[in-house]
Amino acid sequence: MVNTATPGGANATYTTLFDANFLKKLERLSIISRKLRAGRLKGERRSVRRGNSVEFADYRNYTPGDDLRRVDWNAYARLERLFLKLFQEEEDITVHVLLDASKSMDWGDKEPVFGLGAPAVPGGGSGGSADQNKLVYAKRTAAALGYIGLSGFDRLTVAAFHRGGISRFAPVRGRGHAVNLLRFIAALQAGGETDLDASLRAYAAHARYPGVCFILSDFFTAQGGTDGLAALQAAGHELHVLHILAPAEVHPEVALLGDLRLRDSETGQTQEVSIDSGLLDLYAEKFAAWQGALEGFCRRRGINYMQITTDNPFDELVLHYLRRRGVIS
Amino acid sequence: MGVLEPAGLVLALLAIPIILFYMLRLRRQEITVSSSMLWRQVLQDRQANAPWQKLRRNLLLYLQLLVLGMLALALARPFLEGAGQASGNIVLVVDGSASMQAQDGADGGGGTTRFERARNEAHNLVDNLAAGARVSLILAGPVPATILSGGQDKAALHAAIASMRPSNGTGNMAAAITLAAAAATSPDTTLIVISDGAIGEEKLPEVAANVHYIPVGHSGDNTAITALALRDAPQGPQLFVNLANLGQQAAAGLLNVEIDGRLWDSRQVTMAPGEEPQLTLLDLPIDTHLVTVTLKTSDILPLDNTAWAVRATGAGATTLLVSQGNSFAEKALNLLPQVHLARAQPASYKPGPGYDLTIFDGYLPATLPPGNLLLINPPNSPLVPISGTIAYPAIGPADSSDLLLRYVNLNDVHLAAASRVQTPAWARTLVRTAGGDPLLLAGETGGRRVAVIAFDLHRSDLALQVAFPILMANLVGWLAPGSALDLPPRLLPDTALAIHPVPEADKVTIAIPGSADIPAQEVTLPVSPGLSFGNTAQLGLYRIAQSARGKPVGTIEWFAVNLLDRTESDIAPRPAIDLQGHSVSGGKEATGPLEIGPLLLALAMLILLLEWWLYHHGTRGVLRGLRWRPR
Repeated sequence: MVNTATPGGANATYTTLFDANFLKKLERLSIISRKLRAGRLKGERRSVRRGNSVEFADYRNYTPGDDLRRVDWNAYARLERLFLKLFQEEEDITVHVLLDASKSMDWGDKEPVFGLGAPAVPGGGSGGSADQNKLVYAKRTAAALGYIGLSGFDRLTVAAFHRGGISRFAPVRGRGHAVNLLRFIAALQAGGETDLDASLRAYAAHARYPGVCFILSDFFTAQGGTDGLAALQAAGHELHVLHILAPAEVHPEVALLGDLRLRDSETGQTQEVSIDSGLLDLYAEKFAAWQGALEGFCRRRGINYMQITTDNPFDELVLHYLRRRGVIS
Repeated sequence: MGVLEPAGLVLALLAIPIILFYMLRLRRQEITVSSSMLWRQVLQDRQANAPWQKLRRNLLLYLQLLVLGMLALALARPFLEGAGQASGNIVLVVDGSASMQAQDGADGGGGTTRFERARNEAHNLVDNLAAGARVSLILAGPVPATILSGGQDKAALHAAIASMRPSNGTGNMAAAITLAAAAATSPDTTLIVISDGAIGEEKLPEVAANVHYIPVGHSGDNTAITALALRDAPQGPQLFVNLANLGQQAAAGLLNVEIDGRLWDSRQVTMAPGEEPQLTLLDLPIDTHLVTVTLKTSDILPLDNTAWAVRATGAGATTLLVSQGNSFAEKALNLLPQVHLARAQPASYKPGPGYDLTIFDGYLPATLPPGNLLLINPPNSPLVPISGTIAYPAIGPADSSDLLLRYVNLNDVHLAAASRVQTPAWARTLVRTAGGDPLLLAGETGGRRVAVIAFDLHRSDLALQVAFPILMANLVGWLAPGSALDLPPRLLPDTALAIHPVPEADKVTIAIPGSADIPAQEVTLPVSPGLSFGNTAQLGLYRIAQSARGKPVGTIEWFAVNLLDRTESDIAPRPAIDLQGHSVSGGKEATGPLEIGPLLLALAMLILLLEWWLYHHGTRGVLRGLRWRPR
């Protein structure tokens, strides 16, 4: 289902996410798929299928009806038997970018200081800050990954989970869809509570072409999100989990001390709490256990887990970190 | 540490409303977090102590409680004992007894006396006085004296301390503490006693003050002559000497006995620790008059190693009995060894000099003779006005404590009649009738002693009682002492004694013995009624000579002033003394209570400022600043 929301001022939304310089850098990157997959259209990736590329793949015996143009006559001259020469097929892969747009992701300052592609400005122009909005950070990451996919002539699907269900950016291919992609992502609004597990399961059930799947979420969900990840993996996706957190969630002492009433941005529930060092220590224990559980699940399942805090410079993440982790090349 | 006004601590109860206000009106800042999921898990562990949890991080509350606590404490006027400067009202009692002359005041021993050490301690105390401190200085000698009262000028205090001298006698610490109690006028009084602790067993009065005791002295090794008596026995004079070794080590010394300036006996004495040997020397020369006994040892208190004794010369008193005939009186007077009795008839009597005592029995001449008088049943006269006669008076209460009535029991005496005497102003009544009329009077008038028996001896059975010769002996002993001196059995230093010169004498010269650091001197006193001499601070033999118009009259007399006090000789320093009903241990530092109330107030003010600053800048930011560690 294509997102029907058409945000006004395409150029404006375009520039809120990236500048042109940064896009140029992204064009040089491509998404790595660790296994060969059967694609749907001709693409730039080796497929499990045999096809018409120049790259030799294998021989097989001739059976009647085969194209005689593919018989290896040199082999026939030596062996007096007919063999067919098979070549690698180059097809596309499908890149799924799944974005958690729940209210908990929409936390932090709305408009952070941002200087993508521009020379680093002393004092925080490099694209990350301690109170960066998580959703904005996730949207930029999603857009960057999508643009890399489009640049590599891969099929790209972007889906956002929020209270209303799932917003999809229909499978598209080619750089020509880049503007639409950026418009779609820029227009995404955070909303309400999401059941991440249910959303991921639903997506896994409907996605026809398994491929490389990026999940961008803070995983603040009661169910933990692991069921959804398992469902996606069962559907054949190669999963990359980008666990996006604000620094204040990892180290709450940065922002939280004293007598406070904490309001949950998703549920609106309030919780009175007097935060002291003992409580902070307890929080650190709980956090480590929760995050460790998710990371352990991913490690056991061969899922690539990356914890990313929004104070990491964004361009650093995309241009270097993801490359080091073997996600893009 | 203690407090002077404990009631001030009641202010601390204000903490209850402050805590209640905080618990009731705890204002929480609302902060939106992405998800409270983890916080809910965390808080499940903390729900049990939720009410106290509210208080835990409340810095402002803690600061306010701290300020309140400091204010309450400051109102209670807290002080630190021995924490530096002495302050407030300080009463400094310096022991001025003989034992303070022991020469072990310095820490290394030797040289300095305890009293000098005590003076140094007092000087130190004055040097360290806090501003506004008032010092009263009391010297606890035989007669305690307030040297300075409420002094604040350090120079004057130092001068007063320097002027103090130890006495040679027994200190009266109880009287000194009583003086100190009178000086303890304010609640911040500190009583500091500097002493060696040799103050006897007497219970000291209580003082409304903090008490400190600064002990001086280190050694208890001392030998002493603790008693000396010279008495006449049938075989001749005998000398009784009591020695004591009050130290912890055996002591040996040479005991020299000088009689009238000549060495008469010298013997080696060895004493085990705690031994108190008694010596009796018989066969002293029959004319023994002045005896000096010296124990030559090398102890640290030489004061008690010499004692003196004076033997009465036995010079009699000439007495004239003017009577129609009174065999009772004659017989009683003749029994007295010092009385040389002459008799005269009233008709042939002419008043004139020559008699120390004149006894008029039922008669009084118009002109009185010089010398002392005993009037028995006198007629009416300006000296003893008589308004009538009392028939069969019963003997009333008698002042048995008076020396003249010593050993006199008048309970069985009956009278047929007595004169109704109007008590003259000069006389005190010794015995009264049951109705209150005087029967026996005594007093001094016109430079003479007069005693009156207001009834006829023949009209009573007094003369038949045992009391009569005793009463006569007492009266004659007082009226004709045979000596110019009224000597108690033992004359202690700094004790005044009355002098009764012969009637014609106009000057009395007293030679005062010297000591190691004070030269001997002579004092000449003009004769006056009630003449007394109190400059008996020096131990030794005092010589009294009388003169009239430059010519010596009467006899030369001697008296001895001795320490002879086992308590003072027992110089072992006491680490603690009993004051205020409990034992007060000695402290090295001469300090008074240091009031820390002003300091607390200043601290409270600072904390209040901090609290105000935190209120305006927020505790969260400050705490975060303290805790923030970049990862």
